[in-house]
Amino acid sequence: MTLLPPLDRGDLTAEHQAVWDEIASYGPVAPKLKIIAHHPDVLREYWRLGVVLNEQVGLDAPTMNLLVMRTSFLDRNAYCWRQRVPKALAVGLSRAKIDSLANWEISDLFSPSERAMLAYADAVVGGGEVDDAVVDEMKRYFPSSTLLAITILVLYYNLSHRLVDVLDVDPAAGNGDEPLPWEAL
Amino acid sequence: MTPAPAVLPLLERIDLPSAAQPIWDRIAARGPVAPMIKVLANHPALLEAYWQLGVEVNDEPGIPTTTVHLLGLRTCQLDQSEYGWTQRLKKAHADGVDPAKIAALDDWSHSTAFDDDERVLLAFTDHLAARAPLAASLRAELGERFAPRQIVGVAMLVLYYVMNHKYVDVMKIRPVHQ
Repeated sequence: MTLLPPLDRGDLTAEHQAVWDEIASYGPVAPKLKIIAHHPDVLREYWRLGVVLNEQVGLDAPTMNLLVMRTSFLDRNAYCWRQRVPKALAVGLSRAKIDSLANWEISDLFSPSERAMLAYADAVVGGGEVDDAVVDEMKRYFPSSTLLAITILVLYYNLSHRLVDVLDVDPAAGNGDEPLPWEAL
Repeated sequence: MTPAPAVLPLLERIDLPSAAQPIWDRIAARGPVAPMIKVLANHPALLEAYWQLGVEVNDEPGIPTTTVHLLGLRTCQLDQSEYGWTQRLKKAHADGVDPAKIAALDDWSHSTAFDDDERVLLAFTDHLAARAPLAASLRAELGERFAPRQIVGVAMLVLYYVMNHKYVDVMKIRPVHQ
């Protein structure tokens, strides 16, 4: 059972229904957002940061999804992994890459820039300062603005995973049949 | 030994495109522009969205400002964030947080300095920062003492601080000591 009951549009004031409508214009409102809606002003800013990150990170859509999925994998977040798989496939990320993400280091499916990004994501999620060699490799492929946005994107999803955990969002919500790669390790 | 420089340059207002300078001015209107903001300025759209979430979680969590500071400082302790502690301590003193509470914070669960609401929120903070499951008793206490809006507000507040600390570490951003 979730920590708080999910809300729907009708539970919000007219002012905050506009926030809901803004979110719904992108697709069905996700279960976690229906809980964050208890504080609609926070929901609005949390959502808008996510939009900026998703749309202005400086990566193409498949690569951005690859990054988000690696973060979900590292955090072992079933809800986010299952929410993301259909979106990633829809924007052209291959099933083969998704299936290889758990062991990207030994896969030959990923380009040098993808490998630099995945190594960086692993270091960011791991916490603390990132080795200079990992940062230098990122700087070979990405401008400063993208390096920054990749960093925040990873941390934003890390925040989201912690939030989903504490809110007790159903890990099967949305796409419960999707297998979880960490369960096979 | 000189600490390593930040991963990205710390920008100033003049480095931003003119269209983005009003964002800087809005931030500066609230006080000195912090080093972590100067690094975020490498991506002005991101700076604005990140800062705006911070304003919302800091200004509207639905709990007293002094409690916000206690939770912020507690998160710094848990994350071992010297940067966060240095930045937060100045604000906490300015807003009148009881120095005895700050001194007792690292062992709050054995201290008598905190009231019942603060104790529940500090326990919630410890769970959030550690990504530990919430015990049934803590869930019940949260529900009894706080409205859903406050629970979401505090959860996002603490997790935003955790995100800040990780960002500062990754970017090798150093605190400004005064």
